[in-house]
Amino acid sequence: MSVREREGTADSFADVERLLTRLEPPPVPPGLSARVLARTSRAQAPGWPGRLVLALLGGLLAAVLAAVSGYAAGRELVYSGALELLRLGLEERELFWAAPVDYLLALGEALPWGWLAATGLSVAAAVVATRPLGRAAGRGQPV
Amino acid sequence: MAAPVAALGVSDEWLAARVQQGDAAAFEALVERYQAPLYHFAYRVLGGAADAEDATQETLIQVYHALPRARLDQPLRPWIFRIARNRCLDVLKRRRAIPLSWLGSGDGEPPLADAVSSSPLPEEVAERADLQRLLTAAIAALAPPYREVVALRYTADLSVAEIAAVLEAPENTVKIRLHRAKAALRAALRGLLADETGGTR
Repeated sequence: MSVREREGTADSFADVERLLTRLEPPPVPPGLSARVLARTSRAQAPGWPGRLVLALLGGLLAAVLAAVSGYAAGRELVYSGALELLRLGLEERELFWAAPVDYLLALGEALPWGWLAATGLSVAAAVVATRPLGRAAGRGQPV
Repeated sequence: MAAPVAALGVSDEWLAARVQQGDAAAFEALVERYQAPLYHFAYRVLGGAADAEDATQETLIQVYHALPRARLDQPLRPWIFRIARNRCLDVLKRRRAIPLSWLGSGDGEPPLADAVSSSPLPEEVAERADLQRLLTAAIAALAPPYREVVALRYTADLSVAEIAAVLEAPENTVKIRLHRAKAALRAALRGLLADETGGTR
């Protein structure tokens, strides 16, 4: 390729390039961004503030359930004699070692399993529900 | 509060991270930043204000929905323009303006509508008062794959590397397309001039 040909190749579209740099952008329609933002705000999923409120409410509800079921579990422990059985087992070890299977069977029958499970689940739910609050605090977001 | 954020000159990726944390003002700043370049790109590719406005709107809404899952370790600009390009291709497909084989990664160059012209343009082209109209018509006459690289380069002001990322094609493919697009533009401009002066192409 000759020097002239090389120069011609390198410079062959300089005229078009110059014209393209003079290409004026068309005016953006007024209100375009407002229309986009209106549509996105309508479609908006609950943002952080919404999620935090939901987490707070969920956590409170789970805490109330934990308190109620915990109280009921405690009352049943007293009424069913399970608490007394536990106290005896701890204070008088020979009672337990004399017949451990009978002791455990009696304790198993006396314990209010339903209420204990409800209390455990409520506490777990409270921990899970309030996790976003912890994350928000970690990010320094207002809670 | 979008304007102050946008005016700070913070990066797109920073704004995107804020959007991911639920900051609506950050998305507003992204919209303010991108509405014009996206509209200019869509206008040149689609050749009409109404279609360009729809495509821009749909692009920005898709960006909003896709941002929570977007990877912020990669530049956001080509990603946004890739979405815009796909919206424009959808419109062109509906118009049946492009064969499906052109929608791939850019392997194999699509044909040019006009023969490539090697002779320079007459000097008076640049002096014409209706230069904008002539250029717009010449760009509109390009085949879509060439129109989009011209639009990305000269109206959205993307670099060759960014255009390659948008098209998901090698940089050399972009360079070849730009080169051929300019050749075709020259041919189109000469044709338009000849038509207006009553000559033949």
